[in-house]
Amino acid sequence: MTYRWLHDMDQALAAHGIPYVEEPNWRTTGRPASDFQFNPQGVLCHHTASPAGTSDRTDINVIQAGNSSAPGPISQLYIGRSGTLYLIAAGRANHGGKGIRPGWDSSCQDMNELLLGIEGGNNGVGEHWSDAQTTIYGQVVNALCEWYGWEIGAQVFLHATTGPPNQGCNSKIDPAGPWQRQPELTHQTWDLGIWRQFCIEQGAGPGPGPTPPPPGDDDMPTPCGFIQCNAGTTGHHVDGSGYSCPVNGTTFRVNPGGTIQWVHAGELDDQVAILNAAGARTDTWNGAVGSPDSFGRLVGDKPA
Amino acid sequence: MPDELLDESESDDGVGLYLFWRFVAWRARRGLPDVDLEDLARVREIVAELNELLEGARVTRVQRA
Repeated sequence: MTYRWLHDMDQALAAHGIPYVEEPNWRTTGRPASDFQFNPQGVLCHHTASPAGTSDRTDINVIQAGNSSAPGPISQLYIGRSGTLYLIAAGRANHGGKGIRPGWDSSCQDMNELLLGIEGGNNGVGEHWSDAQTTIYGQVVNALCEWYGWEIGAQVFLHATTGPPNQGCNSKIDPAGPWQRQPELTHQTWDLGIWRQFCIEQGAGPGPGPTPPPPGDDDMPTPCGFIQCNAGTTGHHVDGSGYSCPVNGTTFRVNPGGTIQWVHAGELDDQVAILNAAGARTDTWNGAVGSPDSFGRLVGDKPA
Repeated sequence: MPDELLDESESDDGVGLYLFWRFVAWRARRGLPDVDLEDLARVREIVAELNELLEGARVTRVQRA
């Protein structure tokens, strides 16, 4: 009987500079080691099927509670619609049921033993996945695979791809719905090859690399655009300290190279005008995004 | 309702979330009051209702067999 507690998932994420929220007792949460095995050899990706607009907290409650059909926890990790990553369980979770890993299994196997499960908040029937959410989803898969020595091209799966109905395992559609690489989808499942390639490309996300000096007004780098966050959204400064957005619409300039800078209230229009005149891109992601960390670590002043 | 739930859950344990949200929608269609699902205690109450229905459905299925 093998039961491996993934107590080091936080280290895997930190190694890539990926922010996360730790649910209480996640290190000791899992299906009983006395009754089950857990020896993950890859990642299985899911969506929660919760209605659009469901809060992160509600999704987490349902994942933790489970039910008699699938006692909790129902996944090891959860990525909310906010783009925030949560650590739920270091032990085995009821997310995969029986299945066949393409290229690995010839008959139904216990996916809950063999794969680590990540749930993403989405209804799976047409709700658009935000770029912030799918970007951190890909970063997390990349970080876990690097840390545990799994090959993204062979050991990352979608729940739908482990359950061919004609082989008697399960029949699932998740993860499904329009996302940044397949915006044409409605309720259809993601393409596994496109998803794996996307995850591979997320290996160069914001990390604990050298800290670039905060640019001054005279040498402001050409931005990739601007993001706006809701009040209470949290992120991290390049010095490692945290910050919180004080108001809805708190705006950051996204710099090339993976940093962001707070735009003081009233300065956005001026900056956009200057940058337009210089021929720079000034795309703005309106509305709430997930953690601004998804776009880069903060340099300069913290929002106040 | 119980048979409807069983049809979705008969093959494996990977359906827990889908099952839960189907149950919540079913409750709403019956006009039962909304509950605050941000409250874990309330979620557990709903899960208890769901589990009771599932148990009843299984008994019904065995009897039919």
